[in-house]
Amino acid sequence: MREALFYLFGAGALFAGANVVFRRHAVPAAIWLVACFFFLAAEYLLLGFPFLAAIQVLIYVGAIMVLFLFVIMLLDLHGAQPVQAQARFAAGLALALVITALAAAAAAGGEALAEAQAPDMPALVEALFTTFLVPFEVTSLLLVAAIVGALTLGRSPDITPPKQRIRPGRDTIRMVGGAPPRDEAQAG
Amino acid sequence: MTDAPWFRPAVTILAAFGAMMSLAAGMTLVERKVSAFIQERHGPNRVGPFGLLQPLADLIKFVFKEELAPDRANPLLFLLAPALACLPAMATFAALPFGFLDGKPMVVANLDVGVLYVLAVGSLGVYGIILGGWASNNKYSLLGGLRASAQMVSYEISLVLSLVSVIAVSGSLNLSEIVLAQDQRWNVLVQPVAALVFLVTMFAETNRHPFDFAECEPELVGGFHTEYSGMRFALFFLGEYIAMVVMSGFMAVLFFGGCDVPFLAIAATPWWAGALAMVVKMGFFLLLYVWVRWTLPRFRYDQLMYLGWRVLLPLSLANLAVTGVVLALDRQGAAQ
Amino acid sequence: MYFHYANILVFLLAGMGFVFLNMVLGSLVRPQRKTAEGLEAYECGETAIGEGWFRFDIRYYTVALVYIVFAVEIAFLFPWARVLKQAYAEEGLGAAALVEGVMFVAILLLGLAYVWVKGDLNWVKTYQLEREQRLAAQRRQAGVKEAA
Repeated sequence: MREALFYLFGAGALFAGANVVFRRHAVPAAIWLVACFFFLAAEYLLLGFPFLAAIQVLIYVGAIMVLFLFVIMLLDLHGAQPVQAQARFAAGLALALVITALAAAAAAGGEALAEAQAPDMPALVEALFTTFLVPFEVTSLLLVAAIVGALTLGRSPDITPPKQRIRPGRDTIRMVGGAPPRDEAQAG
Repeated sequence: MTDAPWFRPAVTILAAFGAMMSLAAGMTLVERKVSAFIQERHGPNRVGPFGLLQPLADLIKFVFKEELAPDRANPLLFLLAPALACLPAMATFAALPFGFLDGKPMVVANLDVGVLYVLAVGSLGVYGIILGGWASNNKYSLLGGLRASAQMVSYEISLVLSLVSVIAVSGSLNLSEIVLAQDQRWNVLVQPVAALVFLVTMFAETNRHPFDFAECEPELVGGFHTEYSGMRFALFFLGEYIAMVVMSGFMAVLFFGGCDVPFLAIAATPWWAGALAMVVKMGFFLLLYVWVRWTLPRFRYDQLMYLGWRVLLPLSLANLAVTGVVLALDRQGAAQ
Repeated sequence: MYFHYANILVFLLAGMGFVFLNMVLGSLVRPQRKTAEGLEAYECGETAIGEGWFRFDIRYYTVALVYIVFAVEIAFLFPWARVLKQAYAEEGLGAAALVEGVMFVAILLLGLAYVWVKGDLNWVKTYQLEREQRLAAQRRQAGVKEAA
């Protein structure tokens, strides 16, 4: 039963992942990526890691994909040309190769996976605070670096509306088919 | 039959679903009645005695309404968004413990990672709003959806941090165990700052007044649901009301002892008294939603961001640090 | 453990059934009178100009970005908070747990401080612009008066 579900969710994740690549538009592709993350969370749950499953949903689905959607909408990709057929085929082929390689690796390590005992949370934390203390603290440094880096990029003049770009009186919204803006009427 | 292993879960699921639906439907009526009371009006009083059947009349009306969709909308996502707004709220309700029967919690799913489950699934509610806003292909909708989602993510951090302090005090992520840990002393007495932060954020997370920028009528018409009508519109609202019910439930469970009746041990409380106490506490916070709606003016969007990032976030972080230190001192005091 | 998740699944299926039923029920009885006006995007009676999909402000992206970083931080804080009491109960582990947790949060507070000082948390960035414009207008007016 558990094994059957494991393969079922795995197949679901693959199907969703393939859809991410083959969707024409970016927003539906992002939704399929969300579905893919859900299947992965279900896999973690089946392997006995409910904590990891919850974190997967909270971070990847609840936070990172929201940012993805923001970026997709921000860039307004809807009107963009879909990728060429050959490029899509190449991407699909590359994906298939990667999946095959991963599946082979997983099959090789499958025995060890089945043997592994899922640690409960106290054990997890003990590992976090003793064996993996330095990586744990370094993670926070990495996160700070991520904030600084991403915001610096976001602040670049190409995307932020700088002061010069707004020209009062000229860049304000005009009524279509109505009277000209008052400034121009007075000037004229 | 009552001894069958499937009996109790089946009854629990049925009861929970019924409770969720009746609380959400009841809340639509209570909101209109209380609003009317605050504004010295009568409110709905035509359908049934005292207008009690008004939710039913609303439902019938929604079913018979034509559903319009802009022809430039994304059809699939436009159809999917109301369901996506509704289902995460429903799923979080499954983790709400309503009391104890035969020493076992009355809850659909007694999860060891209960708090995390609620946060993870609850954070999905943003998808219904952002996709509904985007799929409509309408400027008001997109702006409303964006504002709502930016607001929800801004306040989620403070919400989660206030819960981390509660977890530190209770030493558990299991909601039933958190309730049991409050047998002597409710968490609101131990963690008043966290309770305050949670109270503010629960208004923002459900997009309710004074943070209802998603549907800020003067500027954005209906916000993300401008283009929605009929049953799809109703589903958005059902989702919002269920989210309010769930948030009130978590306020009760995490800070106000859940099913704990004051001055009575949880183990000695009959199951119906526990469930009643829980519903009364939830009812209070649901009333508070309406009360606040007609008491406070709407924030400005920059004020909302200011409050979320510069007041609540440092406050909840400081609260967490103080909690850690106090717990350490407490431990040392007890050891000496 | 899986029993509880199965319960959630059943509960969620009931919810999905409810949502689906409502949508189907409506499609059977509701009127279908599509008009050209009804299919337009709603813009308060005005004819909509252009698509509803437009480029919006970068600030929404900034907010989502800062949110992600803090969400990841919190993911680490959950297990920490969960065992804090147990760690205090054990000899010698309590102080270490506290110091480690506080250090983790403190480093991230640096991030918050950076974002704060750099003004990325300011929602309104146009104050400066408006102020400059106001001052320029005042100078212009003063100049007009002098000329008169």
